[in-house]
Amino acid sequence: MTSGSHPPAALEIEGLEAGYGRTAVLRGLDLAVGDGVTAILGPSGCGKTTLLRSVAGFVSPTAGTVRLAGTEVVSGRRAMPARLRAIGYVPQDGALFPHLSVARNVAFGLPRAERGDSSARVAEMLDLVELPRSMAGRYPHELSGGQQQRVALARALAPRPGLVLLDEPFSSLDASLREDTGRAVVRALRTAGAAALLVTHDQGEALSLADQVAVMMDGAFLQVASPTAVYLTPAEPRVASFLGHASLVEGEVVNHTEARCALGVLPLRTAREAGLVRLAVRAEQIQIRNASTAGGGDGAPAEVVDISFYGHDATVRVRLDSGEELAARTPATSVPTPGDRVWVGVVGDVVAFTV
Amino acid sequence: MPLGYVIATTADLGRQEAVDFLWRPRIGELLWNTVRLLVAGVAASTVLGVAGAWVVERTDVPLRGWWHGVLCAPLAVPAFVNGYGWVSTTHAVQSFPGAVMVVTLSYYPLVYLPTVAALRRLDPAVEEVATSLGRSGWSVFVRVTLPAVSPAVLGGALLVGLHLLAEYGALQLLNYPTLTTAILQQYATVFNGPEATLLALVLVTFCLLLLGIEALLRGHRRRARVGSGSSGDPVRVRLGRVKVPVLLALTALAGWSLLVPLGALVRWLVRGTSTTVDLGELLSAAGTTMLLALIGGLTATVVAVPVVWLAVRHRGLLTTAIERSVYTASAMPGIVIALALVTVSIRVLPGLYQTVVVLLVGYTILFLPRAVVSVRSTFELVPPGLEDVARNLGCSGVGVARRVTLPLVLPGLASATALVALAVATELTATLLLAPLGTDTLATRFWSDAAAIEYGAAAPYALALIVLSIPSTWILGSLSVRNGS
Repeated sequence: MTSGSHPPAALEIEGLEAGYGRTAVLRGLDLAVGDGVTAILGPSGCGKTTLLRSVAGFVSPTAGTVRLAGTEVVSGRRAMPARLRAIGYVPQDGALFPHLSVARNVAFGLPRAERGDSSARVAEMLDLVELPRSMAGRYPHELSGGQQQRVALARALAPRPGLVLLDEPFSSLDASLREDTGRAVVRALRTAGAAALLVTHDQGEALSLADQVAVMMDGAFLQVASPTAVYLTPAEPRVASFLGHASLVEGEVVNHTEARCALGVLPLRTAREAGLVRLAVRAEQIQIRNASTAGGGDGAPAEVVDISFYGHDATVRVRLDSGEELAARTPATSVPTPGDRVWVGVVGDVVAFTV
Repeated sequence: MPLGYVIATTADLGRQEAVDFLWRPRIGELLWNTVRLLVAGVAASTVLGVAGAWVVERTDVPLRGWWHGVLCAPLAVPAFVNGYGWVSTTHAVQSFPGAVMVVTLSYYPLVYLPTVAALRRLDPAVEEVATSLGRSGWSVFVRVTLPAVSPAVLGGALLVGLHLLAEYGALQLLNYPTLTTAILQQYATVFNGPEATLLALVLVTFCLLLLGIEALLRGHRRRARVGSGSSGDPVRVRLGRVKVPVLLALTALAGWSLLVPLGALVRWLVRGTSTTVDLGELLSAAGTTMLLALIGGLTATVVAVPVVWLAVRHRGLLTTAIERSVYTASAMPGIVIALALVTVSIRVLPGLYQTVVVLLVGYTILFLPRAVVSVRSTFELVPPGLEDVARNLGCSGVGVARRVTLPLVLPGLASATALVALAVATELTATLLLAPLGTDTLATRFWSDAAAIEYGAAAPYALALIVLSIPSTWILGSLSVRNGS
C-alpha cells in the first residue's frame, strides 16, 4: 500500500531505533497513523514514552525515519528541531504555564499576528474542549485536574496541528474523571480533525478511546490492530496475557478445529495443523460451578485459591487438580470462598499459539 | 530592637540638626555612590548568576559538575579578601566600575545557587510544551523558564542587594565610600556620635525599601508547579558552534573571580616584604575564629529550632509574625545591629559590654534567618503523620522528638550550623565593633593588616579564612543540586 493518490498519513514511522548510551530502548518500530486516535499500550518501561518523545523531537533517534504528513522530520541521525515540527504535545500533568492565564496559555503557540487578537480563537478552543468561556481569565492553580488537561489540549490544538501527542494524559486524574475527560478529549480531537498518538499503560483507556492499538513490549510492537482485533485475536501469547487477564494453558490440537487440554476439549477460533499449542483462555470465558451439582461433562475439578471482590464482579483464582492456575471472572452473586471444591468449564472458543 | 534604637537615638538629635546634617554635599555623594553601586551590582550579579545557572543546567556544556563547583566557589572567598586581591594586583579597581566588578564577582553566587536549584525543580514538560508550540530556545527561556524561576532569582537579587548595603571591608579597600563605610568611619572618630546613627537610619530605610520592592515584584501569584507528575531530565540546548565561546567565558569568570584573588594571596605569601608569619598568632586567631563560628552557628541553630517548629506545626498569626520579624531584623546591616547592641549593653547591662555574649547575640540576630531557612526546609520534609504514628506506637512527646523527629532533621540542623559558621567566620563589621579587646579573629587580624597596607602580613590570615570556608561552601553547593530530585 503506497500513498499514491491518497493524502499522506499524519504520521509514518519506519525502522525507528533509539537508546540511552548503550541500552537500546526502541528496536526498529514501524507504525502508520492515519486519522483518529492511535494508542501505544504497554507496561511502564517498555519504551512508549521514548517513542513519543522521538516523534516530538525531544529525543534523538539513532536510526529510522519519521514522516509527518509526508514531510520527513527524522532521517537516521538527522532530525528537525522540535519547535519546527508543528506537533501538538500534551504531557502527563498538562504542564500549563503557571504564570499565565488560561487564555494566554491557549494563545501561547499561535503565530505572532494571530496572538494580538486571540480572544476569538481562545473562545473557540474552550468550546471545543467543552470548558465554559468564562474560564479564560483563570489561572492554572484555580482549575481542577480534568480542567487542566482540557486546557492543555486546547493549547496544543490552537495552532491547528495535524498530529497531537498525548503522554499518559489521564493517569493523574481519579477514576471517575478519567472516562469523562478521555471522551471529551477524543471528541475535541475529532472536531479539530487532528490525528493523535496516545501513550498509556491502561488497557481500558486504550481499548475504549483508540481507533488503532499498538501493543508494545521491550521496545518493539507485538501487534498493531483495531481494539477488537488485538483483544479477540491476539497475535501472540504476551498480547493475550497482557490484555484482559488471559490464562495460558498447554494443549494439543486434535482435529484442526479443537484442542485437548486440562480443561477438556475446547473449540479453536481458527483452524490449524495438529501439534502442541498454548491456549489463551480469558477470565470471562471461565465458568465456575459448584462441584457437587455439576459433575461430569466438559471441564475439570479445581480448588479455589483466592478471591478479589470488585462489587460488579469478582476475580477467582483456582488451581486445577492437574496443577495449572487460572483466573476466572464470576458474577458478584455467586462467589465461592477460598478452599472450596469447584468445577471449572470454558464458554466459547479459544485462541491457540504455536509453542 | 535595633530599629527602635536607631529611631530613638536619632530622636535625641534635634530635627533641624538632622536635616542640616543630611543635606551636606558629602552625604549626597555617599547616597549617590551607594545607589549606583546597588543598582549596577545587583543587575550585574543577576545577569551573571542566571546566565551561569542556565548554562550549567540547560545546555550540553561539558564537565557540568565541575563548572557548578567553580561557579559556587567564590562563596568561600570573603568579599574583603577578594577586594584585597584585586587592589594589591592593580589600583585600577579603585573606581566605580572596579567596585562593581569586585562585588559582582563576590556576590553573584547568591543569585546563581537558588536559580540552579529552581531550574532543577522546574518540570521540563513545561519547557517542552513551549518548544513543541514552535518557540525557539531563547523565547522559551524568556517567556516560560524565566517567569517560573523568577522568585528564586528575585530572592537571590534581594540577598545581593542587602549584602551590598552592608559591605564594608571590600569597599573600604577599594576606596569607594558608601553609607556603610562612612558609618564605620564616623564611629571610629566620634565614638557612637548621633551622625553615625543618623546615617544608619538612612541605611535601614534603604534596606526596607529593598524588601518592599522585592515584595512588590514578587506579587502574590502562585508560580508553583501545577499537578504532580514526575519531572524527568530536561532537554539540554546544544551549544554547537558557541560551545567554545561559552567555555572561554566560564574560564574567564573562574580566572577573574578565583585566580586573581588567590594569585595575589600566593604572591604576597611568597615574596611579600612584610611577610613574617607569626605562626602562634595565626593559630590563635584561627582557633578563636573556629570557636566563635562554631558557638555562633550552634546558638543560631538552637534558637532557630523553636521558631521553625512553631511556624511549621502551629501555624498562627503570632507565630508567623515572629518568623517574619526574624527576617526583617536580618535585613539590617551588621553595623546597625552592632551599634544598637553597643548602646543597649552600655546603658542597660554595663557588665555585658565588651564580652563574648554581646558578640554572640549580635551574630544570632544577624544570621538567624540563614539558620531558619535551612532548618525549616528539613522540618517541612517530616510529615506530621510520622509523629502521630510514633505517638500511636506509645512514644512520649520527648521520645517522639528523640527517636523520630531529631534523627530526621539532624542533617538540616548540621547544614544550618555550617551556614551560620561560614557567615560568622567571614563577618567583619559587627566583629570589629563588638569583639572584646584582645579577641582577634582571622577576619579582624586580616583587616588590621590589610587596612595598614601590610598586604604580605595579611595574606596568611586570608588564606586561613578561605580554607576554613571551603567545607561550608561545599555543603551549600551540593545542597542546591540535591534539592532537585
